[in-house]
Amino acid sequence: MRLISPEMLVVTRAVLPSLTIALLGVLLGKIDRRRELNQKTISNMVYYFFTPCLVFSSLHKRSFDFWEFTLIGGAAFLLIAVMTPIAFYFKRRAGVEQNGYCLPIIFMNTGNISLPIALLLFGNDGLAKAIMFHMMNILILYSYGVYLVSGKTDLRQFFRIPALYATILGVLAATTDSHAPEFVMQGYDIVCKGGDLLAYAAIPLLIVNLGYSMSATTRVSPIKDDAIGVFLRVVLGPLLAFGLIICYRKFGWIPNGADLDPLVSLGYRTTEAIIILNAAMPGPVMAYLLNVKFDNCPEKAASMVALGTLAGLVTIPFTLHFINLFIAR
Amino acid sequence: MTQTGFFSITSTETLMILRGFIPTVMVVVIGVLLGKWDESRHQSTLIKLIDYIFLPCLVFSAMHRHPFDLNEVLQIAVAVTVMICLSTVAALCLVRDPLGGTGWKHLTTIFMSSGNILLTLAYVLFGNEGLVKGIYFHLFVLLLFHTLGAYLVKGSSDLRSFFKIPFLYPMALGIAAASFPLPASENLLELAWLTEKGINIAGQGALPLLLISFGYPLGLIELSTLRKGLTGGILRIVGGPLLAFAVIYLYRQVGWLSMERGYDILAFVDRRTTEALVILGAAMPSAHYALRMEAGQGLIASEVESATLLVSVLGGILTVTTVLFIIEVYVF
Repeated sequence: MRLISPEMLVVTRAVLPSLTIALLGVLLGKIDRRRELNQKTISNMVYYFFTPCLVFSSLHKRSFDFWEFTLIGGAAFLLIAVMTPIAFYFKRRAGVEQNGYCLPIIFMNTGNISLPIALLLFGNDGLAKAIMFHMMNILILYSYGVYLVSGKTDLRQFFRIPALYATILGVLAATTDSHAPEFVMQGYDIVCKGGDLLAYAAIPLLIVNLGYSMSATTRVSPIKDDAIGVFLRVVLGPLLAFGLIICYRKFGWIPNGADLDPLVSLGYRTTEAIIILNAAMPGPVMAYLLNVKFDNCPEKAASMVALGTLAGLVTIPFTLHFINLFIAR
Repeated sequence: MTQTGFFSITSTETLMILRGFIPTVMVVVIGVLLGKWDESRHQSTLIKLIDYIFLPCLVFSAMHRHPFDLNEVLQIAVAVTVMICLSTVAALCLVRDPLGGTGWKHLTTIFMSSGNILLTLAYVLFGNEGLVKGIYFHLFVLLLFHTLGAYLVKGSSDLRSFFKIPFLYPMALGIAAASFPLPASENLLELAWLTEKGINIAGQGALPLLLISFGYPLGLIELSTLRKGLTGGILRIVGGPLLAFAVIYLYRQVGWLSMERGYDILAFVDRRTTEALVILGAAMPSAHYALRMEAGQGLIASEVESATLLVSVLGGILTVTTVLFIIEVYVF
């Protein structure tokens, strides 16, 4: 009997390699008992060099489709918009006054976990779509998210994100039809190769860093409210996304029919899968960091982010399984 | 090479070399910039990540896909030993000792950076086959470094440190996996394949990190001291490949790396890759760990040694490119 069915193999294919790397990070954390590894250095390298290279190297290789960007960015916006009143309702029920409680429920960790899975499961096309979702998620996090915890927006932070400029450059490179001399194009090619080389490190470093952080989480002691918050994020999130995809299909924004060209259909299905996958992500570490910065309920945010990441080990494979059942067919 | 015998910047071979080498240099430069910006000097974080996670993953993922060949290992081992022993003699004779002969401070002239740049270049230019040979080359350089190098600095070898190098164990594991494939069920093989995929992704991450780690401390070396390292640096990047060419010539003469094409074209290419790797390895700039070993002994790396490192790196941009062209012409 086959232990892993072909459907499950698809899911495992996306999760197990990431899990292996995360485990290496956890192991490193366990070996490094004195916590000598400077995580800020790793984060800075990933933030300033590796992720922008990954973003550029992924975007410039494929043609840019504005409608696709609208669908994905719009989905991120709608999911956040729908989740906001729900998060506020449960915040009131939990008797929590600070808005920081809502951040890990409303926003998703679209970087560390989603990008590797998108790449492993859907290749460069999936990665590019996941990057579009990620950019919209962090745009709203740095505007509306910061407003929620501090009472003012901080779009300056958003415009300081190197990946934003890598996205713009990548889109420009993908859309500009250059007629430059051959040697200029060859030079550009060589520079792109350098970017590709740097991009190799982005995903493993993102996951190792996550694993290393998790190795320090000695115990998670969730209280009921935090568990409800996590449930909303990792269970209600993908359900909302499934609903959104049904709406997209009903409105005809994402065509779904047997008469579609197989390649075009594959592109649409990947878009749907990426939206649902991102909606299933746990709360982002950035939400916790913002809560710490503005002293707005940081303990609850930390608990929800840690618990959500652990819960994601179970819910993400399930979501992928459902994507495989309902979307990929 | 064009048919007239002159290098053409747009020829396919030239472009292939440049496409492999320039991105490598670019990433090293980014490492230099990172080192300059990081005021808190957290290079140890980078080294730890490479040593404990990324390099072992790279080594395992390369080794377990490559059938073990003792002859290939011996060819590289002998070449490395001969080159390093001769470099030691040359350094002793030609490089002026800054301490007036009381201390041994020529390690940067003798030992090449066989890990950081060679592994990346080997992979970019020659694929997994080149990477495996690069790993063997690195292994023997490290073995000699912890024996001969340690003896020169401390008066005794330091094999214990050698066996603490984390990548040795995944290397042994990779060789074992390639040599003795275990019978396993289809399910287990699928799981192993997926786990290996994760290791592979982490291994690829090692390539830019190795280069960045190499560039990281370079920005701290004073350019004004450059002249002091001229002899040592030039000896490293010019003398090294010359020695390698001599070794390869001898190998060919004695038939150890036969030039006969034979029926198996892949075996022929494999022998040429070994030659290319030995020459490329010998052309590498000085190794950082040479400075670190002396620092571990309470010796602060002298200006001469730091300058040797910097000269070998800056000059290496030119010499490695030239060596790559010569490899293209002479070897392939």
